[in-house]
Amino acid sequence: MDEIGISGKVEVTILLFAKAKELANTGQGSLNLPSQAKGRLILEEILCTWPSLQPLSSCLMLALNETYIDLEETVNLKNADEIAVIPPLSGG
Amino acid sequence: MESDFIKITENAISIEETSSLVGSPSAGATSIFVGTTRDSFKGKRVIKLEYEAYVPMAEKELAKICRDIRKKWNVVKIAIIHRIGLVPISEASVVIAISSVHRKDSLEAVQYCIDTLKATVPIWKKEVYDDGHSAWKENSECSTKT
Repeated sequence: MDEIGISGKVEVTILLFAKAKELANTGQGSLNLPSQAKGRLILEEILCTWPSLQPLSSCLMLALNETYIDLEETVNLKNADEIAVIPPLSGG
Repeated sequence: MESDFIKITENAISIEETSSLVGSPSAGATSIFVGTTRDSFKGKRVIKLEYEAYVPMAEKELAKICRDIRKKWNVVKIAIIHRIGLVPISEASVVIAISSVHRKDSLEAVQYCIDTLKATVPIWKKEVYDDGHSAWKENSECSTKT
């Protein structure tokens, strides 16, 4: 775990829903990410970890701790933060 | 916030009960929207629908919609109930009831509420067809639709 501390990385929980969950074949995972990361980089890491999500790559939204994030924005991350992978919505 | 009622439930939604949640002596109007599940999509027969939600975030987004409604319109009470899990054909998947002193406010607020819900609240619907296929739907209001 020392290595993670030295490299400035944190371990976050990734939640996947609906079509993203089906394609990844899991609803939850974890990723080591830099403690400061642009939304788009987080998405790229997620697509690297679950390549089966690629067909959705251009239409995924991300939420950090239950709030949408702008993919062009840089966010601060800490251990145990929750990042949700949100495919196109179909509620109602 | 006691005038805003938000619920995501696996149980059937009673339109009557939802309506009674927004009753108030000061209200001259209650406007209600009921979204129901359809039995067909482009000629394909839908045999069942399944809804999934990121529940804690969906509740937050619904609360945000309630706050926005109160900024834009003069409403008395708001109730939003969304059903998840298996929803049989022609049953209500979502019921929105809003009361106001005058009807214009609640009528406009209900329209805004369902349009915004479809665009921002993390809930998903899967249609299962009689040919064995299934598809996750995408709302036209959603900014990231494919």
